[in-house]
Amino acid sequence: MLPVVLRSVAALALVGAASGCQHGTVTANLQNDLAPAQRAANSFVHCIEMNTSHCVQSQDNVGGWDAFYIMGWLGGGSPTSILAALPNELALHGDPTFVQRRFVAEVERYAAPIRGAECDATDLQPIDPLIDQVAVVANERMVRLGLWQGDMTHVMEGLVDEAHESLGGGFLVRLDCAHNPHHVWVATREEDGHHSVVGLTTLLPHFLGGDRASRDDISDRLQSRSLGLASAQATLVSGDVDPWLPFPIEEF
Amino acid sequence: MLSLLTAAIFSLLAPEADAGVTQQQFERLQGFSTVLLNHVSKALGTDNLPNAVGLPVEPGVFVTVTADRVQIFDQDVVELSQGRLADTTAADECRSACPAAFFDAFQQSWLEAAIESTVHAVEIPQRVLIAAHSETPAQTMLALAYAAAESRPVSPPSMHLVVSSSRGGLRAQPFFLVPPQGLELRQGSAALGLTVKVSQGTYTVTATDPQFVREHRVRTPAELRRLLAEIKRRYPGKETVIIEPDQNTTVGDVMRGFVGIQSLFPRLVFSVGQPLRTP
Repeated sequence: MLPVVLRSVAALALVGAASGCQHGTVTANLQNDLAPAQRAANSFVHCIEMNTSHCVQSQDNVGGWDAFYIMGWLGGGSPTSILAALPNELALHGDPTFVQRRFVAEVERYAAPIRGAECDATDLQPIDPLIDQVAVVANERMVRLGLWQGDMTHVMEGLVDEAHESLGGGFLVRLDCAHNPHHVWVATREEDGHHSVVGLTTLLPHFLGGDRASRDDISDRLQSRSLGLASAQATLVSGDVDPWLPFPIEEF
Repeated sequence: MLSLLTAAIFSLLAPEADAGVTQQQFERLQGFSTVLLNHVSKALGTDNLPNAVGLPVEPGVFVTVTADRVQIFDQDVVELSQGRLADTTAADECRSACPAAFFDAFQQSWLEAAIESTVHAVEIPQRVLIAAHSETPAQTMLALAYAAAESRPVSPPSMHLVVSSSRGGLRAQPFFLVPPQGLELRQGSAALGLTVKVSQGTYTVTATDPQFVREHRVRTPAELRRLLAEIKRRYPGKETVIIEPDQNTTVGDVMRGFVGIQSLFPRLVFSVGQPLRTP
């Protein structure tokens, strides 16, 4: 973990570099042990920390990441939510504007916690093998649970192809953070020698290398403002025995 | 490529020219009971579920309990040995003293559900369905139920035991849990607090109502039914029975006892021995 002051200097330099400024010398020295994809991931996080509005480029093609994320959800997500949301998710995936907005919304959701979380890139994996792996797991699971139906064969093939086409040659970079959200994974892709971030998640399925967080970390996340649960309250009904026994006391 | 994928998606979702196929696909996508049946059949076999009448199953988090593991949905989360947990160290956060292994597994699951709710615009499930092998120790099932309930953000979920019905198919028997810290009833609340403690071969019936002075012991489900029918005549407005199984009682034992008294006291509440007090 870099000292805070150095990290701030690095952040300023990286944001400058990302916006075309040429004051990145300090950053290059600090990060020259990292792979280009990791440097891009750190730059992206520093960009979020600086609250700039340029972290997600409007021309970014994030459809490949969305395809990868949907397959990860099918492979490890809740079957209940898949049943409820899959048709709509597939329809929305066909809308590039929505996909772009979803990425921006995800970045904005975690901007505040990431700002103080002290995140640093610690690992990276080439994303192409992960795309094939997630497709195999998702296919097998959909069949096993009875969720494989209709034209899913073409849908899955399309998602795999789109992910390879858009993310091919890129990396999935892991960032470990000292505070909530504790872990962040970003997808990078390379174009003309330039690495850019095209996707972000704070939860990676176990079969892709996501690990179980500690109890404290999970509690921390469940109470974070980014999930909107901390201020929610249970509804109490007058005359009931107890919130755990929500029926009239006369019948108890 | 995106255009090809889009075409495939729309062929899956809403081809106006083939409305019959579309409707069929939509119905299959809504098939929670089919998914549950597929999973339970493979994980433990529907014949091994306890028998009861139950209600139709509705979507929620499903948990399966076999002799050697607990799964949340289809993911292995905790290993068991003969239906019991080796390390029963309680989670500090769990007021019912539920095991940390169970609490942590459910808390992780609720976090995943919360993140899914933000990304995919779905609700965090409000229902938990536990499909337990009928030979599972009832206290294991209850420790899981408390862990699921106490780790859920905002409020405890509604709980259901997945049962096999003689009418065919899987059904869901709703149940409640006595609050983890026990329950203090208001003075003059007129609560009966009817409780059946189940130990091997013995049912001990008590109540919190001061007028219910005796403790009754019976040995068979038929005797239990006769006793509770008599109590029902004295307390016709009461609908609730609290069942407190001991460590040797199985889920199947509990449900065999409950099925006989369900028509008298249809609302099932479980306890792991928390106090019920009247000031």
